Amino acid sequence: MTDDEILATARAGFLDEAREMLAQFEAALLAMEQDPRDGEAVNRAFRAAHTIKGAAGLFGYDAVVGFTHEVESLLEATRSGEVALDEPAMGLLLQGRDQIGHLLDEVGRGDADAGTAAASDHLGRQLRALHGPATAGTAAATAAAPATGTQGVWHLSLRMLGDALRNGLDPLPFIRYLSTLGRVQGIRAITEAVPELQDLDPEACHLGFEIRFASAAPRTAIEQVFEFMQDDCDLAVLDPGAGPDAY
Amino acid sequence: MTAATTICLDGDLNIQAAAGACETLRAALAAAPGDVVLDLSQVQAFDSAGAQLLLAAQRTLGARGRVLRVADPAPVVVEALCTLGLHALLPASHGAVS
Repeated sequence: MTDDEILATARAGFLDEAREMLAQFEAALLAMEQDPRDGEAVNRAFRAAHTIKGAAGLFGYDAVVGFTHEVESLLEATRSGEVALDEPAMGLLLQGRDQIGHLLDEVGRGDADAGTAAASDHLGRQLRALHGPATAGTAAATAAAPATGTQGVWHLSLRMLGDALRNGLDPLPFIRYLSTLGRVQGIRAITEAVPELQDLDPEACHLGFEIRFASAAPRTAIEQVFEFMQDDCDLAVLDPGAGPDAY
Repeated sequence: MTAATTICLDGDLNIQAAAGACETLRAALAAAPGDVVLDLSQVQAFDSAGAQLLLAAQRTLGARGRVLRVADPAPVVVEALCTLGLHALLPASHGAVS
């Protein structure tokens, strides 16, 4: 494959995933509108936004990352109870959904126009005004974290739990996102638990992964990648100096 | 020797479409007398649920001494299988992409 083909492939994969996540985001918003106390719907919206941001970061779509981060921060503030899920907040989130859609369309077309950037900026300010500076500070700290560790080769052992896919948590974007923190040097899927077709529940997840991951990021940053999947997977992270006892 | 049967799976092979695609595959594999070639050139969307379907189909045939091969995978399929460490499912010509 040529570089152009690899890029086109990556973009198609990203857009697929992101549009799908955006649909889940929208569905969660509609559930939140119906019942503002539906904490699980807020979690679903948050995870969808987080996944879009992560995958966009992996492919260097900075406009998507920057704007989606603002949406995610407002959801985080809602989750923690700092911001009430009232009509203005819901209105901004719904506008945010449309704006993410426009940004993904731009990725699809391979262009970027000033109007879309201005809309991101304008809406981003409104979102920030609601969720306040505290969450922005946390985000800056998170973004700065990866530089603090020393380079080494980690071993990640990931086992998906049965309901992961049904909960909208596909391991694929999470594994892609790892590349923002380092390099996946090797990955092997553990497929022994996949049954024959007649016994397969096609919506249940039977996969696991063994991953060799070179990264200078600290353990917390690596574990954070999988944080939003933590109820749907078992993860063991062995640090570069781990001895036999760690297994 | 029976010639391999080619089955073309088009549309989506993802969590949304998994139940329907699983039925399609079960029926198609049951009807095929021998080895099967899955033509994935027309696949539009593909995720871990799609990868699992391929693995399950391979296991189903393998248990009966038959072979399942993937042919002409769409770019979304190649990217996903490489990312998931499932290069082995791809045709040999794609095996080096990672």
